[in-house]
Amino acid sequence: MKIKKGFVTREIAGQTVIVGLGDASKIFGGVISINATGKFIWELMQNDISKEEIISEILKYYTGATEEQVAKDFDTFISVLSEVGIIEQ
Amino acid sequence: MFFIRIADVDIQINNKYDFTHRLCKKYIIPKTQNPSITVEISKDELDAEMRATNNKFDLPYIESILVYRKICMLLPKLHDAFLFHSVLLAYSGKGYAFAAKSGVGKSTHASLWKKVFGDSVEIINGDKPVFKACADKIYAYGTPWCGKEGWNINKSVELNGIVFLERLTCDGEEPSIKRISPQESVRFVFNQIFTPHELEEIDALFPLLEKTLLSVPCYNLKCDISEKSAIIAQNAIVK
Repeated sequence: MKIKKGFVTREIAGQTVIVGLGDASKIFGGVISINATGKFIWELMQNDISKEEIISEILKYYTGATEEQVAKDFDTFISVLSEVGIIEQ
Repeated sequence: MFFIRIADVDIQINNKYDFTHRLCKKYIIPKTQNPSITVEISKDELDAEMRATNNKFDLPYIESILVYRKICMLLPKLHDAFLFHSVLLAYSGKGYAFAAKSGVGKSTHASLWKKVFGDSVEIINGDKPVFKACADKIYAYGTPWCGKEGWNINKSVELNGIVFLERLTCDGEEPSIKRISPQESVRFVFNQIFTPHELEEIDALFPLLEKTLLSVPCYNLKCDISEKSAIIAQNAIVK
């Protein structure tokens, strides 16, 4: 899975937000705030990548996290992004 | 054709309908040779918006809305200014903005301030004021576009607080207000602006939003229509 083309992130007052450019804004015209883990996943998903690979990358980076917790955070993040249609399966 | 000044910006409007001219009457200035922005809405743009809004509005009204949308798209990169959907009021000469999604009751809340605090309160704009970053301060300006109550005064104030309103959700809960950090305020802000979808416009507007959140105290008010809501808000935000 990967992020569809045309979406960018920006930082505002320490908060990361996602916004669609041009035609991509017709898919989703709003703005989504994401946290640090979300930003990390976002970067990985610029290229096609599997859920397992993403979770393994997060566990490498956030050494204190458990696999169960990471999988849960990942699912939440993906469900928000899928709902607005910006993920390519 | 006529000229207006909003947020200290001179604008030429090539209107087709007199409605737009009448709407702007408090902001009209004499003809100027060098307007910073010139706006004209084409027949095609009017028709497209008419279709997009399912023929709910007439053409004169649609022209007035599109004129403002065009102006607001240009303000960030040309003048460090932007539309912030809110009720702007002055309390003892200082500016406060009350922001919420449509229907939450920002007009009702502003009316409560007027009722409770009387002449100390002046409602400058009921719906669509413009904010402008100037050195380390944010100023808020009245504009002709002001919502159904028609609250609109052509003046500016230094912005001293932004209050994001939410309705109390359960019975028996008391109104409350808390200061929120700039970072916490970000998620509220995007309900109050026209979000641009071109990089150049995003990169003009977002730094202004950040500057606003970093320089103006922001609050989250959980309110109902009681006078108490206005009193606790006033206690918290007026320094």
